[in-house]
Order: sequence, then structure tokens, then C-alpha cells
Amino acid sequence: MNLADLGVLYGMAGALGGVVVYRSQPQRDARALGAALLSAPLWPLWLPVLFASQRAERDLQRTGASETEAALLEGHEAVRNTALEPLLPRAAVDRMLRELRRATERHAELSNLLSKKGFDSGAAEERIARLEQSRASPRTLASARLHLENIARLQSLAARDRRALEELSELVAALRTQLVFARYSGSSPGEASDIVTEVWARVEMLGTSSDGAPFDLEAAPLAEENALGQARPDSG
Amino acid sequence: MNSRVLQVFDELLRSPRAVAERSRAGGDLRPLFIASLSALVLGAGVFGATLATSRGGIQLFYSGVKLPLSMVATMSLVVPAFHAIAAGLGRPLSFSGTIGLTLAAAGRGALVLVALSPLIWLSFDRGLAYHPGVLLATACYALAGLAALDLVLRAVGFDVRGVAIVGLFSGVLLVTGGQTAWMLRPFLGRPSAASVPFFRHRESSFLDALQQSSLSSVGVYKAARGLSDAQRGAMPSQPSPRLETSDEPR
Repeated sequence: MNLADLGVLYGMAGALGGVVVYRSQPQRDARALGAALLSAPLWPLWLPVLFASQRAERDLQRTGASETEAALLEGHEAVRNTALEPLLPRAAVDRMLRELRRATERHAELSNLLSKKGFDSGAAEERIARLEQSRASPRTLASARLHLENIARLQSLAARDRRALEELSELVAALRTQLVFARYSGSSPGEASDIVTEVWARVEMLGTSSDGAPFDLEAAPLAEENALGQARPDSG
Repeated sequence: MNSRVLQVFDELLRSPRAVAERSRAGGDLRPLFIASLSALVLGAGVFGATLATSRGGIQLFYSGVKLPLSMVATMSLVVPAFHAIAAGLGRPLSFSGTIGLTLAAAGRGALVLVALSPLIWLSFDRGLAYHPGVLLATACYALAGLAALDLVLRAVGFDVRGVAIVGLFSGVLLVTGGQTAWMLRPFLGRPSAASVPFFRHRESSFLDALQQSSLSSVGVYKAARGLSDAQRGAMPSQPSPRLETSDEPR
């Protein structure tokens, strides 16, 4: 094998790496193209950095949830085998953890969907502007506007979930320290009891918002069509 | 992303400790990678083109392309060795962190080369000859290399173990980088050559050339001695200066 053969093999590996990188990007835009183009000549250096960075991003998303879970378990450990245990029994902790995981998964799913090209609100707005310029039919425009409204609703839902998870995380951290304090100081569990009640209320809220059917990408156009049918002036 | 890239670029210039910490921490190293690569391509490109001002013409473009290419190729080759050396001596880094650190060090070195480019330019403009020019360029590389290794040392720790890691890595880097640059020469261009090649024909290796130059410096001319005895009669009794590398491009 001479230097030219090695160059050909290197180029082939680079081209393959570029395709893999482009296809693995959540959005196939200019940034994805840039990442793929960088992979072709620099794959031995760029690919490990790119994949490790993507993994770090995913881990960062999970960290919030796992920190809350750890705080809940530590709170329970603090009161286990003490008079305070009825405040936060193991069964209650398990139920809270289940709801928390459901809500976290739902939020991750929603965030992932919203990062896809078909859910880009900027692109949807541009499309409406283009349709208006090209004097598209009212029905086409109505569909495009409904698409944009749905994206806005999904974004609002994702933002609400994120806020709820953040608030719950802070509350659970406060509960943990309160329980530890109550255990070691021997003080009244009054305040801790209030926080537990508040945590329960938040968890119930999370459970309520997670009860709806998970968002289905395949079902989305169907739902849109049904809504559009109701909006059509000629649909009777 | 763009603002983060600019921030890392700023850190490369002013805060090597922050860059070292960033590489060691891992996480999202894409801004570090892009900023370092940009610094490397820009810095080495400017320095390469400046070196070629002694020859001028198309050599400016060739050297401006080949020097960054040589540095990037060297980095690709030495990263696994650096990863293994650091892990073997008890200072493991993640593989992506090793890449980020190596590239950041090379980027910092390239920025030092940019800073030294006016000196090279001025020297050639004032009539610096070819061989002293090579020596001046070598001194610039050495200075840039020290700046780069300083960044690596900050990441692996400034103690005996850290110094050992950097020392071993320097050995690998010197040989690999030297051979890569040797394969891609000329960077300055032979002053007497009528045309400028993009690559020279492959002949010997970096280490052979180093050995030959060392022997020549003490008056031992291996190239002349290598000729057969049959030819010796036709040769001048003293080794010709032409056989030693009076016009050798570097």
C-alpha cells in the first residue's frame, strides 16, 4: 500500500463519516452541513469531539432529573427509621419518582420533536410569508397558519413542562435539607410537612399534564386535517 | 455557537489556563475545536506565506497551504500517542479532551507564529540569506512550540509527572512533526531553482537529513564519501560544497 492508496482510503472514510454526521444531526441545516463538511477531511480529530459533545449535551438534559431523584431518595434516607418517616414513606417516594420520570421523558420527547426541521417556527413563518407573496389560496394559507399555531402550542407546552420540572427540582432540594435539619435538630416537622404537601401538589400537576396521549408524529397531520376540516368554510 | 467560538479564541490568546481547564473538563468541545482549528489554519498559513517571501511568487501560496496542512496532519498522528502517554503516566484525559487540548496547543503555537511573522518578513526584506533564514524560522518554531507545550503542561499538571508527560509527548511530536514537514517541503524554496514544485521528490527522511546535517557541521561529508571509489578519480580531492546542502530547500 503506497501513499496514494492510503489517501484514497482516508478520503473514503471521510466521505462516509460526513454522511453519518449529516444524517445524525437533529436539524439538517447549514450547521449540519458544516459539521459534515468538516468531517470529510478531519474525521480523525473532528468525529470524536463531535460525538462526545453530542453525548455531553444529552447527559446534561438528563442530569436535572437525576439530581431531583437523588434529592428525593436522600430526603427519604434522612427520615428512614425515625418518627418522621410517615412524612415521606418509601411508597410515596416511589410514586413521585415514577411521575417525575414520566414527565422528564415527555419533556425530552417534546424537546426532541421541536428540534426537528418540520417543527421550526421560523421556517413556518417564512413559509406563510412566501405563500402570502405568491397569493396562495386561502385554504393553503389556513393550513400553513394552523401549522404555525400548533408549533407555538407545542413550544408553550415544552416551556411549561420545563418550568414545572425546574420548580419541582428546587422544591425537592429544599425538602431534603428540611428533613435532614428536622432529623438532626429534633425540631417540629411542621415546615417539612408543608413542603411535602407542596411537592405532592406539584407531582400531581406533573401527572395531570402527562396523562394526555404522547405526541405522535404520524398522527399530527391527521389531527391537523381534522382541525382544518372544521375551519373550512365549505366543509358544511 | 459563534460567540462561544470567539470567546475561546480570546482565551487562546489571553487565558491558557482557562483553555486547559476546558479541555480537561470535557463536555461540549466543539467551540474549542473550531476556534483552535481557525487559529491554526490562519496562523500557520500567514507564517508559511511569510517564510516564502524569500522566494516569492507561487511559493507564497504553496507554503501558506502546506504549513497548516503539515500541522493538522501532525496533530492527527500524535493525538493517540499523547492520549496513551497521559493515561499511562496516571493523568488520563478523555479522548475528545486530548484532541481539544492538542489542537488548542497547536492553535496557540500558530498564533505565536503570526506574532513572529513581521520579524521574518523584515529579515528577508533586509536581505537575510537562505541559511540564516532557515535558522531564524527554526527559532520561531521553537518559541511557538514552547508556548504550545506550556498549555499542555497546564492541563496535565505542573509537577514531575506532568513534565514527564510533556517531555515524552515532545519527543513524539518532534519526530512526527519533523517527518511530516519534511515530506511536504519546500517551505522557503530553493533560491536558485527556476520553478517551484508543490512537493519535492521523496528522498531519505527527516532523521537521515538531521544526521547528515550534524555530520556536515563537523566536517564529515557523508554524501561525498558515499560515491564509489571509481568515481573518486573524477571528483575534486576536497568534497564539493554543492554536495553538501548549500541549496537544499527546507
